[in-house]
Amino acid sequence: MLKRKAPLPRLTDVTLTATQTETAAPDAVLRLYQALLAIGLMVQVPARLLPLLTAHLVPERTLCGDEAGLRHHTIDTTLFYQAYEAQFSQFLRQSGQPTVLHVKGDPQLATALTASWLHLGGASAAACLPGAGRCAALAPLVMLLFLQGETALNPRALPEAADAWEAVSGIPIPAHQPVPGKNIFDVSSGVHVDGLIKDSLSYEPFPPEAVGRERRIVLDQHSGQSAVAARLRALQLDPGTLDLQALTQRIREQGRTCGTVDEAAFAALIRQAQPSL
Amino acid sequence: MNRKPSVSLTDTTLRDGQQRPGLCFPPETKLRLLRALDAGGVAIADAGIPAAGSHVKDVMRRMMAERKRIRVSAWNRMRESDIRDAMEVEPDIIHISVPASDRLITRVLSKSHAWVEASLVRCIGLAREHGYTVTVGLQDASRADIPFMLRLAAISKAQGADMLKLADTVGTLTPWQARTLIRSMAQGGLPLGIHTHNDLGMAVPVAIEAVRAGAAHVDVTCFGIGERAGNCDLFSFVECGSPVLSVTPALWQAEDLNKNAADILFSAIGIHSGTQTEGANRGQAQPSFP
Repeated sequence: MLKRKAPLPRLTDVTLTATQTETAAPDAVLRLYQALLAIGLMVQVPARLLPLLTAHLVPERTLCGDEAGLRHHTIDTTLFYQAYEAQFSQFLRQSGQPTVLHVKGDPQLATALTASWLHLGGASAAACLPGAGRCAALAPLVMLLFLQGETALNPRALPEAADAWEAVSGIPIPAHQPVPGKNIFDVSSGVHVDGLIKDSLSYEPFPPEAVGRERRIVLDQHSGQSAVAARLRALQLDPGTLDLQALTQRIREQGRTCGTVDEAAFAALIRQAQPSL
Repeated sequence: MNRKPSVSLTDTTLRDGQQRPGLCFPPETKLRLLRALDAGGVAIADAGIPAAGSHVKDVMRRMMAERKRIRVSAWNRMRESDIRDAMEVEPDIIHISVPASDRLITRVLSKSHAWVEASLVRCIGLAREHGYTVTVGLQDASRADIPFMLRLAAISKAQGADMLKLADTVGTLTPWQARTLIRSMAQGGLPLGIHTHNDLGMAVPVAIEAVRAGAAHVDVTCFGIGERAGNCDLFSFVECGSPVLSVTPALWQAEDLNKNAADILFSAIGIHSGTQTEGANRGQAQPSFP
């Protein structure tokens, strides 16, 4: 279909192929396609969606059907139980053309095998957004390559892709899903909040901003004085004007009964601590 | 024929798992889960941080009174005051968590390698003086200097610790890095454990690869709950690891344990476990913690 001169992007997204899109709104499908392109991926598109995307198609970044000059190789995750690195190395030595590896099966094992393939020099590999199919997880692989210096990737576009996939599939992405989960940068542990305030990478693998998110300090039974002080400062209050130790203790006690101490409960505890506020 | 490497589990649902912000299990839930883990063949329960207060000490004392085969471990920062708090519970194991990376030692704690080494000597010494079994965990081991960690391993061994656990605190280890880490740290002469996080969606395969490289122990949580993207999921580890590892608990035990844990933990947060379907993490039907 296409003649390609530029190097193949390391990741080929197969979310649109793996997702049932028949009942999805066309604009949602287009939004997903464009979000995946914005990440910096090659995007595999099933033939049935081509008419829908024609006006917006980016041919050099879109795979459809058999691609001239590209070899596709599919394996399943049982390879994880064998000497998979030796097999990948042998394949790469013998293969004379760029190959897109597709790993099918348990998503964690598929992600690990795909990461190893790319680490050993594989040209490209297939992955999809969570829930779209039993294949390697796209977002963690984007982050792994990004952390290793793959500057062509733009992880900040991941939340938009995740939102678009939810709109297409109707399936919510779990809040703690690796990388695109909305709550992965929530933190409450006293030690961890204190550490993150001193060094933003002490207890997180990458800054929330790198994937278009923000850190949220949650107050609960694990909270320490650093966390409480940070939340007070966010409300333009001076922590030095309150008995921080006593306030933290009350937050912990309340957290042991209700889980999260929400904003209203926090405000009530502040008023108890200093009625003039 | 090659024998499968053996591995036993520490369940840390009640300590690291419960550090998922907003999550709070009542004492009765903790006791029910401990009983399920005990019946399910889990070797060790990382059951809490006694220094957090009397509410933790009370429930850990009840765990100690009720446990049958499982060993109850108390988690501690590397502080003598924490060790004294733990000794009030009289746990089976006192676990000491040691900052190992320069990022944690210098940027967060403003301390030195010498301070870490001296504190470790004192803390293990205090627990051993009172006859406790001690395990040592190296925080942020995936970003730490191997020669320094080998010095900490040597100190731990000389002071009488039983095991060294390597924590991938920020969840960035890859399978090949885990293998290198374990093989390097095997020179320390202590049995090794691995503690993985799921930030890059590979907590389970990284733990499996660590065991294939020589680790004898893996930290897990029920349903992979934990901070950020969670920890190594107990059931997934047993299921995915069983073809190449000799895992205790066996797969059939892990299946029963998974069902029991779903009943216990989901009801604690007001959800009927039968209504849950597995999320996108694994892509197949099994209970999934929201």
